[in-house]
Amino acid sequence: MTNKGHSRSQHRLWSRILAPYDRLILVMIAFSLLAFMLFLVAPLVALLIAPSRAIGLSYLSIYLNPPYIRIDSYGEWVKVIEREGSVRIIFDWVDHGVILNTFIASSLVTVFSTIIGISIAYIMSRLDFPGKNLLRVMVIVPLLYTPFVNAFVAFKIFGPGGLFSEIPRELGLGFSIVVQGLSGMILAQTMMFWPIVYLNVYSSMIQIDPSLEEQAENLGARGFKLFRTVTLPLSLPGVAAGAGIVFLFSMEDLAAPIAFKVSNVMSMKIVDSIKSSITIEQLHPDAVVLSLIMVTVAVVWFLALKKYVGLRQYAMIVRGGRWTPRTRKPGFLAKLVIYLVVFPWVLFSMTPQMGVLVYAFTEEWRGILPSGFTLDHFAYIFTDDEPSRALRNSLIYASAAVAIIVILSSSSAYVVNRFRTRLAQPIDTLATIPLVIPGLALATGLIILFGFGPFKGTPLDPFAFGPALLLIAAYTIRKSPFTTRAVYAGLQQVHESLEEAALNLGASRSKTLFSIVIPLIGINVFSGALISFVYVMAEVSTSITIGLIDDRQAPLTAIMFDYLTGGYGGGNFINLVAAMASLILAVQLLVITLTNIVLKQRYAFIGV
Amino acid sequence: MVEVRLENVSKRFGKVVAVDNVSLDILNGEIFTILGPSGCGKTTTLRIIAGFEFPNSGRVFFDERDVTFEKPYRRGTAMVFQNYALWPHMTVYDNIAYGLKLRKLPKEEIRRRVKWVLELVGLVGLEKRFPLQLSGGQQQRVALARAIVVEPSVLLLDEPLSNLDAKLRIRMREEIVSLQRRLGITTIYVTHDQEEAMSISDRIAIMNQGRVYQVGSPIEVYMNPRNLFVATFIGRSNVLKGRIVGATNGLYVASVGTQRVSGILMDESRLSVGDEVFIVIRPESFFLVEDNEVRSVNVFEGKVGLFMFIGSFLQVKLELPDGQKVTVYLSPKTKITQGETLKVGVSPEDVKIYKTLEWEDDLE
Ligand SMILES: Nc1ncnc2c1ncn2[C@@H]1O[C@H](COP(=O)(O)OP(=O)(O)O)[C@@H](O)[C@H]1O
Ligand SMILES: [Mg+2]
Repeated sequence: MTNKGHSRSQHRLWSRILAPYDRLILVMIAFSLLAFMLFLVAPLVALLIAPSRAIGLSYLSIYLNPPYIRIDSYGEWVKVIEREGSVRIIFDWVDHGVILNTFIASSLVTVFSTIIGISIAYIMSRLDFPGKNLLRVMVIVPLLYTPFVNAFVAFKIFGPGGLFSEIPRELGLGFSIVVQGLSGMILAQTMMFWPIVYLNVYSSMIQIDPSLEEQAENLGARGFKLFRTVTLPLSLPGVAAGAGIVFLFSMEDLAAPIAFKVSNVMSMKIVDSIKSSITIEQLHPDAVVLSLIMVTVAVVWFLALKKYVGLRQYAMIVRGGRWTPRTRKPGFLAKLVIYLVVFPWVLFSMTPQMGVLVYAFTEEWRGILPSGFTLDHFAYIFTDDEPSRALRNSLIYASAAVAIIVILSSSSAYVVNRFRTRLAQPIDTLATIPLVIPGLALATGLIILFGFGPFKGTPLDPFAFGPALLLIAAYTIRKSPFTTRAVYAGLQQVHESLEEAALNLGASRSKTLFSIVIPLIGINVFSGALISFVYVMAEVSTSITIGLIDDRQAPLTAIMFDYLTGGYGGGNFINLVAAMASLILAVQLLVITLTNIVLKQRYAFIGV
Repeated sequence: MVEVRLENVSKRFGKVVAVDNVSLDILNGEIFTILGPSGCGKTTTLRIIAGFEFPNSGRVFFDERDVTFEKPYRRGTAMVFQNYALWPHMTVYDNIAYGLKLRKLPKEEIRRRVKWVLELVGLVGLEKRFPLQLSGGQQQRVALARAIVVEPSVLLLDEPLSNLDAKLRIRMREEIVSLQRRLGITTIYVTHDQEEAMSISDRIAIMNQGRVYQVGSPIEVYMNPRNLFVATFIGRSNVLKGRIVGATNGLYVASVGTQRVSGILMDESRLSVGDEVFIVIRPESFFLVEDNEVRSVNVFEGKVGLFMFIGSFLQVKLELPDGQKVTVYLSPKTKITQGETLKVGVSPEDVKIYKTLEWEDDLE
């Protein structure tokens, strides 16, 4: 072959490879890949290679011993103390070391949440009863995000000196209950997270073709047998997704351990070690090793779920057309359960959110009843230097992050939805996986990469230039999946031929996007952006680690954390922090209302 | 106006070969139809011409220009989509004017041309409507108007009438033909409906399983189907099994049961005695043979089974002595009764012989 012929055939090879892509598409792919590679993959890789480089692999064996894993455990899960004729029941904990404590607690939270979530999903999807619509709204309340404070309310309710011990004492009932330590943390997290299982399982259950259940009934399966042999197996994808998210959320939760003063869990240890890494500007091995454990759990679960749900798609076999799920009237026993167990439990789960408001609007809440209605806390937020600066920071970061998210999410959703090519496939995974990557682990990775590693000294170096830019990048990556999903859903509604018709008439790709696609799905992009905005405002993990590197650039959640953990000499800032949480709550309610009106979609953000 | 040429074009989707080594030459200004059963690769072929898919091998030319990897917006084709693909957020006027605005024509010129095309397709007065406020037929016309208003060099139509009811379908296809004749645009028309294809096309390509089986004028493909698939796919055909017993004067003679049939070999260059063959005869090729007429070949004697008066002809099912059945169309005046024995003949040029078994799957 002549040289010329060779270059001609090479030219054709390139034309063939690049034929499906316009320049704009290539830019979108490059931008998405670059963003996720730099701020998601690279930090995790940094995390992975850090132990061998900075610490030495032999050092890792200490993580198999106390205080990380403790076999000679001490403590008691339940204590009953009788004194002066009154019984005091104390739920406490047994210390098995940082790593085991976390796995024990997260497993229990997952088990409890799953049992509760499945039961209530079943009731909501198969039974018809007065008050159902009310319950539907009530179950959403525990999901409202009030960083840290809801756990403090839980502590106020059943922790030491809380309402469960004080009210019976005041009434002279002769007993009192205290749930403290890891037990308290488990209960508080169960209250927070069970609705996640509920939402995922519920949506699985209402997608089951009713004829599948009818068929089984027809063959003689009824009641619990029907549930166990048909309904539950077909809902397993929802169960797996919901339970997994709960496990991950519980594992990296900070609110409950802070409120219940549990420091021997992985999330707290990571925060502590990041803090000391920041102070001495040198990496603390705990942050790396514990983060790696969290990431491993998250990634393994995510990949397993993807594979499993992929295999299980039959559960969603859609027989053409829509159907309404079969519902029936509950029997007597079911009614008892609904009104005497379910309603009270849901109400109980809502108390933290309501308690946040109580704290926010009162001067003090020491005894049983709070005292002194006030708006001072809100006034303080807007007038005092530090909180108002933090609020302003958060608003700026959230706006900047959301601006980038809109571009990133639109690009990745478009590429994934419209181009099922080898180049686009990795973006599919990269765009969803931030949902499950523990924020604390990402924060550790980002600090290694940009603070200590190859990007030291760049504008993204949080030690050199303050954390603002790195925070925005972290927020963008962590909270983009919410927008990506909204855009993706919108694109699924827009038939590809609408774009092809424009391309065919001579419109370039960008002209097509702006004249056809964006007008048709703008509303999805907008509501996705709103959702991301809320979650950025409420973001905790990177905010309280990277965000505290320089106080002046700290976001709202970072100073909330600082106030609560005694950065300012004591824990008496709870009312002020609650007021901040209420602001975040208000923004959330606004966004939920807006997206409900605009998209007519249920509040179901949390799911994979 | 351009000539469109496909050279050995193949397209795979994973393991599915949607288009298999297709070569076509579509002449300037003609209506060229791609006809074939659903799933045979018609749409994919059209999309390769439009630039929405790119072939794994082979090339596409517009005149002398190689457009194989050209972006769709640089090809100057205009497509009418099966689902019309009208933009729901734009009025009829804006839908139609879209392509003209892209060409940066002056406003006045745009208005003039939209008005012209609206008159052409009979939609004057509906400019301000949105697509969802139109009937199926009207949407169809908007899609057509949007495509032809830009004066494309090639007009591509993908089953444009399949979503319309039967009556409207016939009217619209007549309108499309008369429009095309007036404008002289090279037109590639995809359909699975053979009647539609026969009635509008200058030439037809018959596709099956990704391959083109025959290209020719409607009369050619009907009268001289080059293979068994085309013979059975186009029009109605009787397919009989036989065995070659000899050849005379360029015609092959086969035995079908006890009868002798002579006909033209269509799909191979030669046959030998003893070969199994398929014999295809159209129902309307038969004629009645009087009882006293003496013939030894191309006469079928059978028992009358079901017969039906269709209007312009009488459809009769004959059962041959060896159990094979043939459908015969006779003059509606023919007097017959069920169960009687009937003799029909056929001239050798109407008997097509095929060696290779390849036909439409859902043949009755
Ligand atoms: N985008 C695609 N991905 C995978 N398979 C496809 C795609 N488009 C078409 N096919 C397959 O290619 C074959 C031909 O399809 P198509 O060209 O649409 O046929 P037709 O238009 O003749 O009905 C079919 O088997 C179809 O399933
Ligand atoms: Mg088709």
